[in-house]
Amino acid sequence: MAQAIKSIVIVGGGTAGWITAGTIAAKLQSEHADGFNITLVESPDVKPIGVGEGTWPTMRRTLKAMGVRETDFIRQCNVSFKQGAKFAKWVTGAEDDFYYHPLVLPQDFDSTNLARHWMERPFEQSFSQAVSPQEAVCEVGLAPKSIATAEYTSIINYAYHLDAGRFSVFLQQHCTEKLNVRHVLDNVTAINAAENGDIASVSTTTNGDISGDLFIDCTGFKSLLLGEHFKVGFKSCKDVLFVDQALAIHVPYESEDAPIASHTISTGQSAGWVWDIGLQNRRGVGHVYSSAHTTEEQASEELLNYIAQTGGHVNEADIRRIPLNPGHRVKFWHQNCVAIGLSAGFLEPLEASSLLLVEISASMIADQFPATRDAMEIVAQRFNSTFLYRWDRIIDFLKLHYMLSKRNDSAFWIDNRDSASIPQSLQDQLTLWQYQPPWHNDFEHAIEVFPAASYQYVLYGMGFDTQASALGMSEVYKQKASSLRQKNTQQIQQMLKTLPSNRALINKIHQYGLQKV
Amino acid sequence: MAQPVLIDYKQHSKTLIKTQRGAEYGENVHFIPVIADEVRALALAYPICFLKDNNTGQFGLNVLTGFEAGENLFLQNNEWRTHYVPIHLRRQPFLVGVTENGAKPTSDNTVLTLDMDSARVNTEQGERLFDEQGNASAYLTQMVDLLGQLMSGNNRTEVFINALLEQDLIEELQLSITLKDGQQKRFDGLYNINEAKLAELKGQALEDFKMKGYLQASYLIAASTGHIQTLLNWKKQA
Repeated sequence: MAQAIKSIVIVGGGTAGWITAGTIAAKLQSEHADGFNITLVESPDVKPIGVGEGTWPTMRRTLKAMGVRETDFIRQCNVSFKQGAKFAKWVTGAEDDFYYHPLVLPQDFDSTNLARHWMERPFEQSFSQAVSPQEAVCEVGLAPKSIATAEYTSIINYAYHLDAGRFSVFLQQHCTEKLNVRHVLDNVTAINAAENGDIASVSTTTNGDISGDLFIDCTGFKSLLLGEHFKVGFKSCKDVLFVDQALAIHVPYESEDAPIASHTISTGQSAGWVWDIGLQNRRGVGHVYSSAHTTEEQASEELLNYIAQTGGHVNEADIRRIPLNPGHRVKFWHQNCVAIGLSAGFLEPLEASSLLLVEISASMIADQFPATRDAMEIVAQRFNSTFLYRWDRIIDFLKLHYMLSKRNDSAFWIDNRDSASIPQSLQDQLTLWQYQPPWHNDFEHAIEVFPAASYQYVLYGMGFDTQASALGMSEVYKQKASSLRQKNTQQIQQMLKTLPSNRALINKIHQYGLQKV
Repeated sequence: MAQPVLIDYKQHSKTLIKTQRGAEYGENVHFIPVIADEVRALALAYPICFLKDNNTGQFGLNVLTGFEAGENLFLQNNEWRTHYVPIHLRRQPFLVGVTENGAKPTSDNTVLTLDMDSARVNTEQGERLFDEQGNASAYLTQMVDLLGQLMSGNNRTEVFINALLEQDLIEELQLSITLKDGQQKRFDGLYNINEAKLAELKGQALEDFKMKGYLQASYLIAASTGHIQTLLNWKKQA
């Protein structure tokens, strides 16, 4: 009989390690008897980077699948609700320059492409305001649901802002107590190869050799298994995405009941941008920039200016420096080892793609879990081609934010428009979108990381011009579109009247909790 | 807004309370909070369901009496269409006042109060609160008793609902009705017992449910949902 895959060893804790452990454990537990085991080995000496604080709406599904109560998660991880991103000063750099990339799809996006209708008179309303209620909800800091809305369900689509440090601890507890994941706190001292080149086991200081059938590398930038042991190559994307340094700091609120923004605020700077994420107890703020276009002193000054302008008080000495190397491994699954998280790669924090990649990687492994070593070859090939495609699409989508800018005030923005820095795949799409707005079939895969709607929000938020169709628009279509826009206006009024503020809802969740149904 | 005052012989020696039923006394409501102790009596006529408090998200036990605000189909020309009227209505216009701010009501920190804004309160007709000697009337004694039942019943109901939630036995009811003009109307926010899960209950949980009477109450609540059909028929006739 072929060698069955029974024993899974995850090397590295942090959010990547624990999301992976929880996702796979929950799936296997729901489908199989107890013939499998999952061990997570974590070094007691390595501190997680802990700045991945923005998620995608997928995190709701991920946590629910693990059997986590949303109420517990919100209470214990300083969570607030995120309904998208507000991009300020990305187009012209002026004070009033902003657009939204909300999480909710445009009205009736399955069958109606409202962008065509909006383009007829784009000056009346911003695109996101015209086609979805979320910008209006975010502008006044409202929550995406009420205390009477069940856990994980929404009135309007949402994701989370979370405290990464707390999140790892929370997941660790859940995985070890509820999902039977074995937690070994120890340093890995050696990686031991089997005859066929697979990893047979990892040696640890005090727990001996830990053997396994499948090894998952969640060791962060170190990439201990895939990078250091297997020497799988790294593909840099610095020629496309320029930011390579981050300065991060925690900013306290002025008072305990200060409002919490219900979206990520990302504000363009001279050589990068500042993220601003509101948690329950503090803001997480950071500046990512291109070291080729500015100095650390300059970047640090811009960050401190931003914090001062937004009413924060911080100590400059608390700024943490995190070097980034935008890029990814040339493959993610090699032999019996797959990398998830920073060990697979990292681009930049824009659009919170990092935790998303962890979730969809873990879920693909759980869904297509290889039953045997032979099956693993096929699963690995599929995993690699799926994720190479996904990384490329994320790179395209992130680049779009920069290359559509009209800013001329610094070389950073001008260089970002240099066609040599724009991937051919993105150039092709843009050629198409000059004549027709993005639509579902513009992409190869049924499940895209960023759907056509995301491209629409960024393109039209940034003032991209798509020509009106020479064939005009039918009366039926016009009527449909205008009734959808009317519906949107009604939804805005309704939501502004009924939704509580982000802070008020979080306080209520602490007091009463959300119901499961 | 209710304006509760403490009941006192000097103040209320002449006060009379009208006890008839009717919309003019605020009984034209489309749902009424009830307690678990009433389930057996209610299940014969009313659809019993769980509703969330909009302010806290917590479940409460209720009977459905109509399909829109202001509609009580059990009330016809100020006559009640069934013999049993929920305690929540019968005890009006009396209220329990809690003497400690924000505390949970218990027999130690509560006082009897009267809602002076209620249309039931007058000086011309109805039941007296006190007799000539200043002793509580039989009517008032009965009301004090009802409020006592309601207070301890509320606590028992909360414990019952928590037990149901712990076993994941509450589920949302999918209800859509066809109005007279043919329009379909969907109702969100009504919850009832998940009977399939109730039937799967076993071991210690099942024993507890039997012993505490939760099992019987759950089946009565589940079966009572059928009375929604009666309400629909009444609505069509209206």
